[in-house]
Amino acid sequence: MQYRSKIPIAIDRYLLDGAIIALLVILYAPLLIHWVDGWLHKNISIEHEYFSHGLIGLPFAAYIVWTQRQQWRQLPDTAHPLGAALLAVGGAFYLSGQSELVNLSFPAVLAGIVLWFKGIPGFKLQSFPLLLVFLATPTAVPYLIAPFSLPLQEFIAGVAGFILILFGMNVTVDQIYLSVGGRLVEVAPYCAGLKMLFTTLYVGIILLYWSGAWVSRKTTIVFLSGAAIISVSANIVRNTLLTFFHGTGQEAAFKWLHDDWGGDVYSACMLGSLVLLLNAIERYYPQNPE
Amino acid sequence: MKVNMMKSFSLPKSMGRLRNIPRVAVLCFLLVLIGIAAVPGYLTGKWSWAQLPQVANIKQLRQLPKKGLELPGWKTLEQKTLPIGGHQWSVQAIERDDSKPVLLFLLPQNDRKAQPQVEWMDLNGFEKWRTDSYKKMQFAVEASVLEKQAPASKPTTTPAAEVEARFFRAWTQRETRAVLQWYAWPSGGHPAPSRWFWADQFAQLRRDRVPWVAVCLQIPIEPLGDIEASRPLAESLSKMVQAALMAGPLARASGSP
Repeated sequence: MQYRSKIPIAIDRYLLDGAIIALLVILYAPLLIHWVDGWLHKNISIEHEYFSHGLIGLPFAAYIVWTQRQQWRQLPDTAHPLGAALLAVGGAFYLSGQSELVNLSFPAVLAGIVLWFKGIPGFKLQSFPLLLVFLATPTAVPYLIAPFSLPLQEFIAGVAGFILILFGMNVTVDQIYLSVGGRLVEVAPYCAGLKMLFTTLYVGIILLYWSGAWVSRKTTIVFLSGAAIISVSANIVRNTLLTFFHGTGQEAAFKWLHDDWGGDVYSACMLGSLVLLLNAIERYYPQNPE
Repeated sequence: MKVNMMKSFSLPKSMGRLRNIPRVAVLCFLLVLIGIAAVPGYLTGKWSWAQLPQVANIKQLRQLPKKGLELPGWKTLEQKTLPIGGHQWSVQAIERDDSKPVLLFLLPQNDRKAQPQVEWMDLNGFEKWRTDSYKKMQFAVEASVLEKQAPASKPTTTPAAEVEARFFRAWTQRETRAVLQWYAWPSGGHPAPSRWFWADQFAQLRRDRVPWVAVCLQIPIEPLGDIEASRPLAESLSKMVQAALMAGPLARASGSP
């Protein structure tokens, strides 16, 4: 008796879950294709490119959800009212048709479904993939924080100028402007390395999760601060090189590092150094047994 | 076996069907969203989130650097476009009988994607000046000011605008100026790009946009003199500039919804 009544429910359940996933794909596939297209072809906006780490983050989030599917199924069903609220907000955002809000509706609807199906325990289980999706959702945050990056730009200009003076070049620094041999180089907000910093921290949290190091608060803090310092220092080196190339009239070298694949090599070296940093931290600061 | 027992414990058999209610609710919810928002997108191939709404008066805005801005009671001595920070600014020297020539810098939005960014920083780099005594200047542009200015044939419906500008002293070795800067839009103005941003976001909910013009007024003063002495002139001039922009390039093209 028991078995007979259970099997149809289980089938219902799989059908329902499959249908919900299919509907989510119908709703969001065009949006996600639009995001990815913008990241690959850089044709939406500079702000959109700040979130290009989603190219790694979104598939990784999907992979984590897939590996956790057994644990997800075993959680008891409890509908948390916050889930319904998030679904309502996400739905309203989607219907608004305004690009920022439609983007935000994606993490809102996903988080809403998680809370609505499995309550807080489900949300805890899926918190990391949800975080990855949320941090990869393009918003105008880079635009809004750009005016506040001025102190960072001035700092970079100052240090880059100082390094070039040490190398015997005739450089004057005025606020965010470096003048070398009558040529002016501006450390613009988008040169302040905020994009690289975002990407570094994003890849950093993926590494922490992947290696399991994130259970130790100390390792996490040391690693993320180290990653931020590496990112800012690397950007100073990059700006120093750019100023050097521009000031000495090596336009081809300037273009290579500024717009061409030189920038990609630089990013790859940066991200590679994160792995080394994490290894070093784990060697020299062994994890607490807790 | 254990798992089965747990399941049947947390959800008695009679509750089996009820268990699916949250899922069915989500299913219906997603179907409604698809029906209202996604189906039209798939059918037309046009998604409202894929492209920003058009700026209605982009043509008038693009014309602005070509001829500058006319201000009643002021004579334009010279007007030209200058590349500053990679953008084409309109730079205009204006004069009234009793004053030294005042410089008016204007940078209008030239594309639907263009946003106010670091215009004030670009001007710093261009002028290479030192600045201090940063103050605020707030003023309102009444609808009646516009009616006086606008030709009678063009009755204006533009509401009054509240504007805040930043007011500071800037000097080089040659001269000292009282400077005013703000981003002007049809219903207001502020020196911070974020204020325009939020106004624009709300407008986008109505599939509309908020056009903008970066304004910088430079009034010559005594060498290292007090900018407060020129506040009355600065205020009347800024009101006039905001009003002229609202009646001209920032005005809604007639006939548009």
